[in-house]
Amino acid sequence: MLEIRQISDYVWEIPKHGGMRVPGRVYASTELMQNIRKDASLQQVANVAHLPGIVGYSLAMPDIHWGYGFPIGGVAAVDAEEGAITPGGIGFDVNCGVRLAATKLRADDVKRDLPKIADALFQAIPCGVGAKGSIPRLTRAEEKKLVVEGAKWAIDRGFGREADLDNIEEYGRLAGADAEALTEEALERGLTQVGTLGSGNHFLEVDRVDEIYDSRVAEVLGLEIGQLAIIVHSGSRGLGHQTCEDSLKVMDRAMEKYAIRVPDRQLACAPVSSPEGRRYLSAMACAANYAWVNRQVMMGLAENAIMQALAISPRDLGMRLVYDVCHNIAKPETHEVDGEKRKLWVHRKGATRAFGPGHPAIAARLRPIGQPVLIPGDMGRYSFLLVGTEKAMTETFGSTCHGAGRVMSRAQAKKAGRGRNLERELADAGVIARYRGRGTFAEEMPYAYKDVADVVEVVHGAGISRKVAKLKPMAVIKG
Amino acid sequence: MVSEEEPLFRELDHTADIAIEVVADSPAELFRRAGLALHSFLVEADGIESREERRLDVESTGWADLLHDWLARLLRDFLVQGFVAREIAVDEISDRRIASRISGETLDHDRHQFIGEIKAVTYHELVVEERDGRWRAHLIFDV
Repeated sequence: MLEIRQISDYVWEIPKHGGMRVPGRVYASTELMQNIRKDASLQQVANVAHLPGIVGYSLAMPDIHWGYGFPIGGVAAVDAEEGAITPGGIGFDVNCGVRLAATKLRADDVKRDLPKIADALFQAIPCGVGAKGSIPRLTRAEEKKLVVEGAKWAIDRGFGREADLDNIEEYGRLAGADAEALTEEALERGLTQVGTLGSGNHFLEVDRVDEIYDSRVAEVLGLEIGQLAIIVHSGSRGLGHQTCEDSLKVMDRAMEKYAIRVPDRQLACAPVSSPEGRRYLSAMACAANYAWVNRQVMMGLAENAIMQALAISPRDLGMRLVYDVCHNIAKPETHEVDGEKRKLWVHRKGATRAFGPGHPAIAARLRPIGQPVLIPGDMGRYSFLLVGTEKAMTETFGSTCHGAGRVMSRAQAKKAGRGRNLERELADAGVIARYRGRGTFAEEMPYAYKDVADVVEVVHGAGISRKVAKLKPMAVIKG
Repeated sequence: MVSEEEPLFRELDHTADIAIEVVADSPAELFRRAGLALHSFLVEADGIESREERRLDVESTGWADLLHDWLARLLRDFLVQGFVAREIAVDEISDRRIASRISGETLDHDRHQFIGEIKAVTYHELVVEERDGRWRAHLIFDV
């Protein structure tokens, strides 16, 4: 049995043992920890601590659960020169992430038109399988351009506006992307999926700002109670999945070449500075940029769909991006470790960057409040908007949680849904649903998820981010 | 030949993803069942017709990697071209190579019931083993 000891209300430590290079640290309440102990995710926190060049702690956020190699909710920073990069610390869906867009509309004013809005969104946003993407006749040459340019590529083609870039991590473009690092298969999978939602836990939601916890920050972000907002949750689609897949065999071979040992094959890694490591990082940057294009395009499609459904102008709708965050990514960042500023690569897998006030990586307008962080909940309850804190910078490499986490397996959830009218149940809870995949819908019902409020209480209580607002879903589109 | 009454596979409990166990009398049947199992999570079998037959030959090293790589190719054909399998025939198989034919058709949202997308066939707890003449595979699909 793995030793884990509580060191404060919300922090637990796995002492260094065996081949661990650093201790593990998990952010959780006593109640959440009871659940976390049930699967192998704590062992995975310990496994991650074996990564060459890892510094500080192998970290896990309160929504931690069992993943591949890394736990979901895992954060690990490695030295930028001597460390190793592992695709297992990023995941199949590179830059899976969420964005929040606000409108000028009042939710109460459009309540009657909500079914019309939901239909229009459902029509406008393809799920991406057996359907065409949102950019017809995308050429391979354009695809290679968009993976380098990121969100700006979509803005130049009329999806959203230039000002949105300030409100995206890395301004919607991760440096170092080289389309030549992608395989033919990855490019082929990406060609028809720009502007598609995907299925699983991905969604597009119409929300109402339901509660404000920090009015000063909410004011800077232009949010007030009753406002209509949109949340988009999706990632890099087949291009990202294939990029992860392609890297696994390469990393397997690199492990032998560089004589690296890790306790789990899925932590296969290569030195950051090796040809294998550099090539993966170039391909990963392409996938990350693809994901930003994807979310930017879908926000643009949603904007048009709502305007048409309500027969209003862009000015009346007033849609603008509040913020866009990534969940599955590795980024070059500078952090203080043992009193010394160090260049690191920070892996976040099912975790969100949460930089504190004043950080130079966030746009000037947001610097006084810290980086906004959106934590989506299940489709029936609520989502939270937070901001990063100084404490996150000193404790978690500027990282926080990313979502609710499941409490029921997909199989259990399907079973629990049998014989029930799930659409009706959601409607009774005030949420209109439109979906394509029947299986996915049952698996994603609110009862299959933990209450995201429990997760958010931990990161708020531990001080690694601060609550700003709560959003309630009114309509949800699933792939 | 295995009776079709017997379920193709067993779904195991896995919190975030899909875990399955497939059992068969031969590697050829094991692969066939695993392939059909994969498709059963993507599209309802009802209404899928054998309108087109495709060859799928894959080479790899060892049973587990071969199954992984072959399933990954099946998945890609679905995700990229929307090709759904009705039936799978394995013509030749060794631990390094499989030659197979997939018959099916292109997904049509009007006629078929789409269930959901799978992102990847993972290596997580991937097992292919033979014991006393019975073949068993354990697979996890990332959704």
